[in-house]
Amino acid sequence: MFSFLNGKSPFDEAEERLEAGETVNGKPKLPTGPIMGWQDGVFLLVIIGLIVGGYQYYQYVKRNCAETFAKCDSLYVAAGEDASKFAEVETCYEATWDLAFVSDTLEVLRQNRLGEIEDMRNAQKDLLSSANDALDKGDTAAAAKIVTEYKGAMLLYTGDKSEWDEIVKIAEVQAAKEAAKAAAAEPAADSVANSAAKK
Amino acid sequence: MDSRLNEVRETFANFADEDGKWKYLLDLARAHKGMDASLKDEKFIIQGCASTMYLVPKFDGEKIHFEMDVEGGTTNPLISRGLGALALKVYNDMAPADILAVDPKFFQDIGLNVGLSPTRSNGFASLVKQIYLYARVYMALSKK
Repeated sequence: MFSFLNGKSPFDEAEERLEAGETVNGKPKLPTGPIMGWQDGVFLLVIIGLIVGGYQYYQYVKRNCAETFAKCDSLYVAAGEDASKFAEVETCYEATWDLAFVSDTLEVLRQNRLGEIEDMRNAQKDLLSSANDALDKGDTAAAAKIVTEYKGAMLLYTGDKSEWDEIVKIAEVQAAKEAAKAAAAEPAADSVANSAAKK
Repeated sequence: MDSRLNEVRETFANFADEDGKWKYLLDLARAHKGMDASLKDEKFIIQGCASTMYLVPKFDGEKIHFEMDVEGGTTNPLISRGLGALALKVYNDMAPADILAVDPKFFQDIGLNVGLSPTRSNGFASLVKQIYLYARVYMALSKK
């Protein structure tokens, strides 16, 4: 009988039969019982199940990886139009670290895109540093100009981010003051113009 | 020393495209063994790197042996680790004088910087600078 579990190969069994004299036309006599026992059947089914399951899982992991990267890629393309979306792109690529399988090509893509975002973060850090320098010199207008002109994504981490937000608040106060000054100057200019017209 | 440089030069010359370079760096990164956690001291951190890169030198009186590792928090900074491994491929276990004899522009000449992000480029430059600094220090010490 063909068996995986009795420690013998079918060739061993055939050899044993031959040695025992069980021959038909000089060839080992073919087994007459069932081809394998139920334990072997179960064993074979488990092996087949593992192979099929493994293949299905591999396909699922590959598909999942491709879908996640495609999503990140479309976000990256959108960020090309609207730089503020780079934070989302980063979050998306960061989430790909949980994927079970990433091909080399996608790995290169991930590393390079995250590197690109890291560069942007460093550029924003440089701006923050310039704005802080301006504040130290008492030039709040220059600091406010730096943060208000920045149109990229907020990529700074907690500490730097709160510093940036503080400067944004200063910029808003600065802008409000200037608007109030301009509004106060307008009626005065109007009255000067009116009195000049009356004359 | 020249054979190492030639090997790296040839490898870079044979890349069919940019992708080849990145995959080579990934391979180097994956093959690179990290370092013992006890060696990871703040004083060995390379300044100017986006990731936390440690470079630990050990001088046996003749050659400098470097241990290098990169930490990236939740991320896996494979390109940075690959760059570190590439630097070690050239400079590891060399005499200080031999390190100093290598043209610091070697990596630039073979085209490593092409397509490299400014942060990584600066980080790599800092790493190479630190290697030359160690070489100078150990050369001076060995002359005493």
